Amino acid sequence: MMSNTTSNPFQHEGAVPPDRLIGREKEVNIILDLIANPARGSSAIAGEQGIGKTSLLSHISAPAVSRDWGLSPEWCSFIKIDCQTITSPTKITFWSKVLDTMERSPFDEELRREYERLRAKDLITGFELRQLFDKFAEANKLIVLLLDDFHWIIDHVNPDKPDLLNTMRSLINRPLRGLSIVITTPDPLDALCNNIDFSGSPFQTSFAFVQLGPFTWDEANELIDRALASTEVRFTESDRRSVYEASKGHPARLQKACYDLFENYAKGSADKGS
Amino acid sequence: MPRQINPFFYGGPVHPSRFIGREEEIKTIMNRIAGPATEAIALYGERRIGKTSLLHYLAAPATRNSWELSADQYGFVYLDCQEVSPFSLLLFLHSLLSLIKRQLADWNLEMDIRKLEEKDSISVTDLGILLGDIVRENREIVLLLDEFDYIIGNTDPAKPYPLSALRSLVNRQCLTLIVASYEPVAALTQGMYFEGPPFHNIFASVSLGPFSEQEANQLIDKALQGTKVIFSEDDRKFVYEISKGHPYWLQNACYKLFNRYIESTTV
Repeated sequence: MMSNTTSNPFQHEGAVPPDRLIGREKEVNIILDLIANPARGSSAIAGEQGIGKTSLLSHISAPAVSRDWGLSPEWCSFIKIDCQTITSPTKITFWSKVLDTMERSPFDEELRREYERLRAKDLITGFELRQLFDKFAEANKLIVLLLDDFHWIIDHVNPDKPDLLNTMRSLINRPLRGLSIVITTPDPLDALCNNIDFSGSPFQTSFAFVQLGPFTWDEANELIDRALASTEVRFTESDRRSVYEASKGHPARLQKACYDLFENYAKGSADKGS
Repeated sequence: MPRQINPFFYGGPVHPSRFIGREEEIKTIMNRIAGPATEAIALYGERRIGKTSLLHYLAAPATRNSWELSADQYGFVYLDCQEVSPFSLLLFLHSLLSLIKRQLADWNLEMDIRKLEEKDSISVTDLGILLGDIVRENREIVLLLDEFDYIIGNTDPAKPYPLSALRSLVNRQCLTLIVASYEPVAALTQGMYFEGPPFHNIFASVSLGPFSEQEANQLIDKALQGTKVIFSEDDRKFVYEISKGHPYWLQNACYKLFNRYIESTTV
């Protein structure tokens, strides 16, 4: 009989922990192959809300995962920023947030000096940032900026003067590769940047595109099996079909449907026991 | 077993060590750089055709060495013009000076540049004097300006002063200038007012097109070196046809094909 205290292994909200990501092998490979390439590529992940973008960012930046690509924390630092925490995104507030979040990067003495110098400044120019990331490259170190919900930043860019995007693009296109960027947006980056006048190469042309879709039937079953493994609950074939159909394989909706179903099982079991 | 990282790459400019092809274009550019007069070259081609990769390759020390251009005599300075955002001539000059100071650290220019940077305002004349001093020491700066469309797009067509300033530096033999843009400079500067001959007259144009089949094969061979994957003749034909030789799409197709091979050997 199932214990009344068995906690629900499904998540009804938020990103899943890095070790519990299901599927997405192709997407993980693309992103980490690009970063591990000596050219240190950048990528743009698109997919609707709840599809697993944030979970994917957590997964690729977990040392247990990125180490397989030779990206060890001793030289490669993943800096994750939820862009919506920058209340009024401007060039100044954005880069201040980046610098603040970089505090625990693998600095050597010279990098630390340069970093502190920039951090103390009110206004940081593009060429000061370039100098900082060039120094990372010269020290054989890499910063990977993971910018979640980047559409928030794009929404605040003046479409006639996209200075912030221009600076970011020029930083990832430096001959010295000290910076790589992974962004997430609900809509494809192409569509979001469509109305912006870049007077030169558009921002999006420096990124490889990764589109996240719903789970396949097999992935949904893998999620259910893994979650239920530590419990005594078993979902029937018909349960599985009904949660998959209701959620259409959308990860957050699938988790929620499974969560509710698990609660029903737990309740039924408790009722039987009482 | 260590993970087989896919060696094909389509997320930005390629690393100079993985650069292939463009031999004719490189020869044209390098011969002009090594020639007696300073020159201006305008590189143009569609998005993701490899302009930035080529500029990075030209600026790489290994390339300079292979052309026997000594680091003491030729200083390559790369600037993505979109970095100077919002664009102003003053910020552009500051950015150039900071790059020269840093990338040519062995040329002992730090003191002179620091003096200029401490001034309230830097002029093109100041930069011209500095570059003239460099030329007198039998040295030459090769300035690689990527995203040159950005400077042109942010220049007043009635008073295109930043462009005139660059032209005067080239005409005074102060530097060799290589610019890269999406469209030819003549088309981008159409309708702009220049005193004297049109701005684009200073440039020799070099257009970048898709890879030839031979270049595509070179790219594939170089990427597959050190892996156990072999692309068949049919594979090569397929990726070339599907990409029409465009470097970005070729890399993209090869990336996917490589994964297919890896999956088929691990299943």
